[in-house]
Amino acid sequence: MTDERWLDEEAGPVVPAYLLTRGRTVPVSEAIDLIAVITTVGGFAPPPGLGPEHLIILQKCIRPTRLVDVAAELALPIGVVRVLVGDLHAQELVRVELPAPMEDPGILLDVISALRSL
Amino acid sequence: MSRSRTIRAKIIGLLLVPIISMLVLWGVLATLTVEESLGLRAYETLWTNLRQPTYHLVRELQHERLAAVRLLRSRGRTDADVDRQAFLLQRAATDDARDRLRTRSALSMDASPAIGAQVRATLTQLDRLEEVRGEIEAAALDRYHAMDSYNTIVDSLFALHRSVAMINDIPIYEQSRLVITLGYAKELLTREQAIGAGPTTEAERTAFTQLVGNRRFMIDQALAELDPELREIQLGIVTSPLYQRVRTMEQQIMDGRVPAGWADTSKELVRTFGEAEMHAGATLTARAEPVADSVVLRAILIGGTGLLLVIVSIIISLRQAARLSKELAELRRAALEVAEQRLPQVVAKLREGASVEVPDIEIRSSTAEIADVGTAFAMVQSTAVEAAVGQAQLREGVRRVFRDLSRRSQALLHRQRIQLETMQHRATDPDALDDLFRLDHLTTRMRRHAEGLIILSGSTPGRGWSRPVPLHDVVRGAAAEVEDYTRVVVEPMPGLNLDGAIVADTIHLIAELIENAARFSPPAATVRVRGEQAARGFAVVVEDHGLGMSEQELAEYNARLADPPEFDALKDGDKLGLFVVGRLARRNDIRVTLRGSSYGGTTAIVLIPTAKVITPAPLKAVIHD
Repeated sequence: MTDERWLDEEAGPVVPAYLLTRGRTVPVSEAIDLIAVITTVGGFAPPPGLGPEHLIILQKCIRPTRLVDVAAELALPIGVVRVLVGDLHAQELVRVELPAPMEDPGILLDVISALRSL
Repeated sequence: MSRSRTIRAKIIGLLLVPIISMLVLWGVLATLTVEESLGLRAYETLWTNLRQPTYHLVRELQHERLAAVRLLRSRGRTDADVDRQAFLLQRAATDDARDRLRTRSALSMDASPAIGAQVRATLTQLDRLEEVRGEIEAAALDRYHAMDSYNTIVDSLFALHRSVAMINDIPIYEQSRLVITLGYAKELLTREQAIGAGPTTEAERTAFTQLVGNRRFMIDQALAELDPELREIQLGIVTSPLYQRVRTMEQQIMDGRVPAGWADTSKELVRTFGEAEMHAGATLTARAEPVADSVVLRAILIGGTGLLLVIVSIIISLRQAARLSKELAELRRAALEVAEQRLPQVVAKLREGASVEVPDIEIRSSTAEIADVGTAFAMVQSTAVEAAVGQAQLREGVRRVFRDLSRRSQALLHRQRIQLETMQHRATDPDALDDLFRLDHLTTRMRRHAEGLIILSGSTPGRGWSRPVPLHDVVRGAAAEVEDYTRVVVEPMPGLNLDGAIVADTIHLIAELIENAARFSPPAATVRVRGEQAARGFAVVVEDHGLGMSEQELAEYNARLADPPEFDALKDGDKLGLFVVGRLARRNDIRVTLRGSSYGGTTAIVLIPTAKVITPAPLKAVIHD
């Protein structure tokens, strides 16, 4: 018989991704670009009602970080991280800044190819 | 309903009738035998009180009659005074004997009604004595009639004799009748004596001839029937020269002569007969004594043996009764043991999956029916055990099929979830992600149901964690498995971890409780889940705002949670979740309690033991880094 056992990583995440956003896939604020840089607005304690993942993002983004990097570090789908960051942005806990447009399209192409490889 | 009586009481009841009958029979037998022996004893008493005094009185009356005859004969002659003197002396002697009879007879008057009547009749006759004597003194009677008056009185005394000589022993009775007959023969001789004193009239001679004939006939008849010992004495008298002389003189008197020496010769013979009579009487009385003794002995033997038999039969009956009731009690004990202990134990053991071995019932009994019932019980037991084992095997088989099918579903669903997760990572479009989320949620729920079946079939779902997992994640993971997970609010909780080994079970347990809370509360209401550290572990509290449950329902559910009964798919199909919770709680030492909330709704408290809660190493440094 199929007496399979799944340990740790094989068992899948304890908390499914859909629960982190309570099923939401569209951020409350405007759409955030993949390469937007997220920076935590410091100076005050985070308000109650935030999930552990929100807090981790706030921690990570004390140093300005791009959205894709946040998602990679949290090992979460980009759609989920986008919603979470959207929550923080709506409460003005983070700043979302698009990087200045690049003159050199080569860099942009690099970025695109890097994204595709994700 | 009236209390039923014990077998013992019934058996004793059955035995009571024959035992009482036996006792009554024994009583009758003993009474009869004792009465017989007492009757023989009475023969001796009657001899002393009635017969001996009667003998004496008869003898004295015979003497008085002779004296009276002499007195009447010598009237007017010179020697009349001597005869009067003799008569008066004899009268006094007779009165003594009469008084003695009166006193003695009073003692035995009540021996029997017949004897009493006879004694009274005799005493009445004796009262006539004074009258007769008065007439003799006044010379109002001739010799013949005076004799006749005495004869009547003597006859009544003999009647008393005969009536008293009653005895239960036939040989003695016959002999004593013969002795009385001989006594009467002696009486006739004394009558002859009186007449023979002469001179005789014609009428007296006729009477004399009659007397002689009767007397001889009586003696001959008695001699023929007497037993050897008594006959010897009588023969001695009859063959003596004295007797021959009397016979010759009798002939002379019948011929009208007056033989010389008649008075002395006849007196001598009367004395001899009298002695023989007294001797015979005493002999018979003495003979009655051993007979009486033997009868007493017989009475004791019969009575004793009877009593012994009665006692023995009572003892045997009671012992049989005791044995029977003991055997039945044994049977009852064995039957009760099978019904109350063995079979429930077998069923309980089979439920735990243990193998059973039931010792055979052994009922030793000497009673065929009881032994049969015992064998029947043994068969009932083995059949019941076989049936229980068969059912247990069937259940085990069904359970295995259940588990295998559930396992397969679980494996497929799990793979599907992994696949969905990968797809979520790749999705860029929010709509596509939304679809994937819905699919993921459905798959998670399906997996939970499959795992529920695996848990019910007594097995463990194969998911596990080797490292401690944050309790907050455990609770959120549980919330994610619920249909209406968006209604569930998981409040922040202390940063404690749960032992990885029980994470899967705990997630499932809390998920079932949240599912329950969501189902029994209004569609829009939230279900709140809190976590807090308690004295004896970590408490996860699931609160809903539904209608709540009654105290009785709460008590019932709590009892089931504390001690989950065997799952019965037919009866408890709608309470599946509750069974799963009970199973999981017991397996992991978790306590689950339901409680009514003061503002409506129900609160479920899950207490995870301290040993399974792990305080994490400070993480801050890691995060800052």
